[in-house]
Amino acid sequence: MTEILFYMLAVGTIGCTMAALFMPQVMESVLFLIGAFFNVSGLFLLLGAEFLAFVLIILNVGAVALLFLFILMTLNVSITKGGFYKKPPMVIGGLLLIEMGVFLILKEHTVPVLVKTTQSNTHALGEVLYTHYIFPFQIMGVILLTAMIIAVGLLWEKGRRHKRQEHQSDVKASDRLTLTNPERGKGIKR
Amino acid sequence: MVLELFGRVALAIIFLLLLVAYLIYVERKIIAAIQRRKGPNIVGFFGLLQPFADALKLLHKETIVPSLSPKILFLLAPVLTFFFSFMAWAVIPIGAGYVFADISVGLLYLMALTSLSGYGILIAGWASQSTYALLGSLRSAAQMISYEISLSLVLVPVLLLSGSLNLTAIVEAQQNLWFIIPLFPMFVIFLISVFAETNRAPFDLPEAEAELVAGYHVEYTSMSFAFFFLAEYANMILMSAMATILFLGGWLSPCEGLIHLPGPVWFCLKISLVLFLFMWVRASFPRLRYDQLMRLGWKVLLPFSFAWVILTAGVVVLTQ
Repeated sequence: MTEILFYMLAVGTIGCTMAALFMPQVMESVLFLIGAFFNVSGLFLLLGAEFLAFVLIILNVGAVALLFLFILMTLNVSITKGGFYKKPPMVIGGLLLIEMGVFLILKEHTVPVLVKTTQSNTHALGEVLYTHYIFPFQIMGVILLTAMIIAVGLLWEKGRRHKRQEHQSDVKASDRLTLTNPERGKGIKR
Repeated sequence: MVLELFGRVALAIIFLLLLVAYLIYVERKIIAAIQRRKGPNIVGFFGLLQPFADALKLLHKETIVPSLSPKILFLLAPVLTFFFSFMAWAVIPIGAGYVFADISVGLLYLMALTSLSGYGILIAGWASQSTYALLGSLRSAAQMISYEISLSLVLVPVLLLSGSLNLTAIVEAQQNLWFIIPLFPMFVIFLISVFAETNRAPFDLPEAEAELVAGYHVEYTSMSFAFFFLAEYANMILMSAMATILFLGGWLSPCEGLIHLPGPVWFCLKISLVLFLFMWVRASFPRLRYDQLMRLGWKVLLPFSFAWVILTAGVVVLTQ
């Protein structure tokens, strides 16, 4: 049963990734990428890493890919002629593949920390992450923070070409509307 | 064994569909009462057959697919929305032991499914090839991403207090004290985020009738429209169930020993209370402007819930 599931998910992952690369429309590519994420999270589930599986879906599918779709829709790149598999992505992908190969050959065989617990794997992950891997974990945080600051900095251009709403100059309800309580038979005096 | 499970799932889905149909009826009745109208009262006794009349009407209408739209995506969108909103019920415990899948990361599963619910709307807006639909779905995507962050931050204090991601364990951790008492501000933020997450008034900008006609489902007819409609209400029930489990003590009785009711009954009563709040808010508040919506999400709810997470963590560490 597990093996059948594994092969189904593996084929799904590879198929979806290939489809993401070779689909003529960018929109469809992104949707297939999402399909690939789902298959990978299924593989994680088979490994018994349910925390990673769901976090993958929450972060990559629920946030990153959603933002990606959002940007594609606002930019309106409906059809890229000749497909998305033009040279640059292929070159980058190839370089990454070579790098991975070199890394696999050259790397020293470091033994990962094995934690044997009876706890759920979320607990176990937390324990390892905040003890053995605290520095890599913190460095990741700093890198992400830097990226965030850069993103904000890019928007914070001098001269302010973008429009923004001045909340101080908003029309308030009290400017438009006056509530009065006129005396009976006299009406409102202006 | 498999057949039995299949039967139980089918029963649960049918029950949920009926619940959703009657939720729509109840909403119309409640809003009518708030606005001093009568609401549906022609079809059947007190208008009780109104949901069936609506369903039949929707069923026998023609399904229209816009000529320019990619057909598969256009028809996939409502199905996806519907599918995700029902899938989440697999992990909701309605009583001690009354749950389909008691998985150890139940809360993460729910979060994953809520974050996926934006896709149906986004795909629908794109596949409709209509400006109104596109605008609606863009708004919806931005809104869902913004409010999802505060929604997930709200869950962290609950996790810190209960020490588990399992929904049953979270309910059992509230045996002595419901989390709504120590985490009341978080409950309020949770409710606000949930209103935004389910695209309900006063955050129903994606389908603002006055400006976008109906937003992302403007091109949909017949059953494909009904799927969106059902999914919205099923999501409402789901979110009420989440509020009940996380803050209102799930199936636990508020007055142990005084009134004896079975767990699922308490659960349903609490869900109804939260659902009533949904309708009350819809009838009472005007829709927010888009920039107000973003300001509230990013500049008010997010920093506040973040501060509360740190505060709760500090208190938990101090009392350990």
